[in-house]
Amino acid sequence: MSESVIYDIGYQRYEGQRLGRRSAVLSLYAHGLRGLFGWGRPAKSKVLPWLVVAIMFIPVIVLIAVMSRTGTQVERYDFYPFQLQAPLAIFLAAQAPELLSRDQRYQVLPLYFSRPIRRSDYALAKLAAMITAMFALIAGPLLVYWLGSIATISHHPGDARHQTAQFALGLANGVFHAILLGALGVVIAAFARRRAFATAAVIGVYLITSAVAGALSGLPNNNGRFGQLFSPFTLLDGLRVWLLHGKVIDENAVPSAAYGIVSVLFVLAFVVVLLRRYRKIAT
Amino acid sequence: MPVIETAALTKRYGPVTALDSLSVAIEPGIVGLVGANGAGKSTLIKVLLGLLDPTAGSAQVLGHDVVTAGEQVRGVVGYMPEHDCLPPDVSATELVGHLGRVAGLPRAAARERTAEVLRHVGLYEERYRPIGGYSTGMKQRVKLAQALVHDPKLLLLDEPTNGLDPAGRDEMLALVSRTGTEFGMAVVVASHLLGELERICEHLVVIDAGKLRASDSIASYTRTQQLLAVEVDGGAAARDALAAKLTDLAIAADVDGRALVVTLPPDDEAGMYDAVRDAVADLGLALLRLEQRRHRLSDMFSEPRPEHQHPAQQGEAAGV
Repeated sequence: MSESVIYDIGYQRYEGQRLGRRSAVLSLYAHGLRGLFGWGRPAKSKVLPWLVVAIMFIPVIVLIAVMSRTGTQVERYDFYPFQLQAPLAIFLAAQAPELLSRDQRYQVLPLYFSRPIRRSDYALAKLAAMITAMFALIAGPLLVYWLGSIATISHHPGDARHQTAQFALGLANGVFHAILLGALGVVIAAFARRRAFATAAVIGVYLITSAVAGALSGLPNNNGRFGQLFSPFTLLDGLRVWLLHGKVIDENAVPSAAYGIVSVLFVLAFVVVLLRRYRKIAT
Repeated sequence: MPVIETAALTKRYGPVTALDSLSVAIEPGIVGLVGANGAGKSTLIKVLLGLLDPTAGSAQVLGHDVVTAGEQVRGVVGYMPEHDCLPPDVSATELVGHLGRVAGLPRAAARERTAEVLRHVGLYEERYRPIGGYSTGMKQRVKLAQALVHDPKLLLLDEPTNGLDPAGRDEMLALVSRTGTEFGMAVVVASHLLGELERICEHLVVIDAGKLRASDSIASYTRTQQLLAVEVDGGAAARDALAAKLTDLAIAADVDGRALVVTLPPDDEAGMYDAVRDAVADLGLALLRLEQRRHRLSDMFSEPRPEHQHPAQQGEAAGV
């Protein structure tokens, strides 16, 4: 028997496989998504995201409990995310800087940009991670609600089909929310080196645009109604009403299609500004 | 084949010219890139990585053009920036593994190589703790590890001993030297500390104000650089008397504070020591100091630039 010895094999050359940009970008996306929920980070980074997750799930759990106790069916696929805009806004304001401002503050960008990816890859992977996180926050409770509804329906089999159709619409609505809000948060955070500034700016955009939209709606003859298109709350609500109910809120309101068009324009503008920012950013 | 080749490479920031028509070829091995702060070392490295676009001229790294084939260049180069660049809230394992993946390694390989390079740079149990709690020395090691994780063919290190204490500097230099010599990796080390580069480099590239001043093997610099400083008791009068005596003996002596500095001829160093000693003895002066010294960094430039001769920099540059 030979004696067992621990060898310090030290540095090794790597002769194995090297994957391309696609794998690099997927890794950036996954790393961003993990960071958004505090995985691979200290415990204090997990508090806020998981608090928001809890807030998002509590109403749906209560709703299902009530439905199963009383046997009544309430259809609330539009509950998410409209009634829960506040926790979504908090998540966005707190975590978008976590995703982007942090890399600028600690000058991590040179480590990324000295690797075989493009600057746009970095920006788009981070955007995709933010959108995915927002969508997960909306879709998770919807899924629970749908499963709960199906389970509590015992009589009319047609109801299940109807529930499923509504669930699909709810998910589509969630996708729009996630894209618009995610792009908004990411584009703001991309310009802030300090986390606190980015958080304040995201909250500020919510508050100021809502206040302006509210003030404009008080104008006589409904002249200020287009203000609705510039607040994330009202813009997404218009989109939701159009999508889930196929109608406008009242006769004098903004045409429903405008909500869709303005949303798309906003997202395109955010993406253009984001890419421009990372093309120019000094490293 | 040179690992780096630049042709009339120029980079201007508005009115400031950071690289001024720089043409240099850097061969494999451990090469020092030396110059005062602001000489253009970091700018050159960033242009080579494609982090900055050159204003004019061209550069090739391992045969790839840095402007048109930046991604290929960055796939085979490891870069250690000069400044702090580590997020404090992740562990070294998490960060280095992630950056390995971004460099194109498959997941399992990234994990394996992360463990290997962190061990290579001397980080053990602490690699699982958040980087925010690390000492400067540990952070510099993480910075080196992330540059090595994808096993680059060329390593670009920008002031790797920045902020380290003397022991930390020695360890970092030994690590860089081992990485370059034992594994045959081409290494370019940028530093304003000539003394450090002399210890680990085979070749020195000197740049000043964005221009190439010299590019030669270490041996050729040190050969021409041996100086002898001699200091005698008796103040300026005694010093000048000795200078006159040496001039009579056809030995050129420069005044440097209270000391005189003469050049040691490479073929007869002992003879020069004897001649100086005898001159001091003939004048009956008390010899306080007789020591070998090297040229300061600024002396290596053919036209010393006054604005670069800050006392602090010179002191560091002269450190051997």
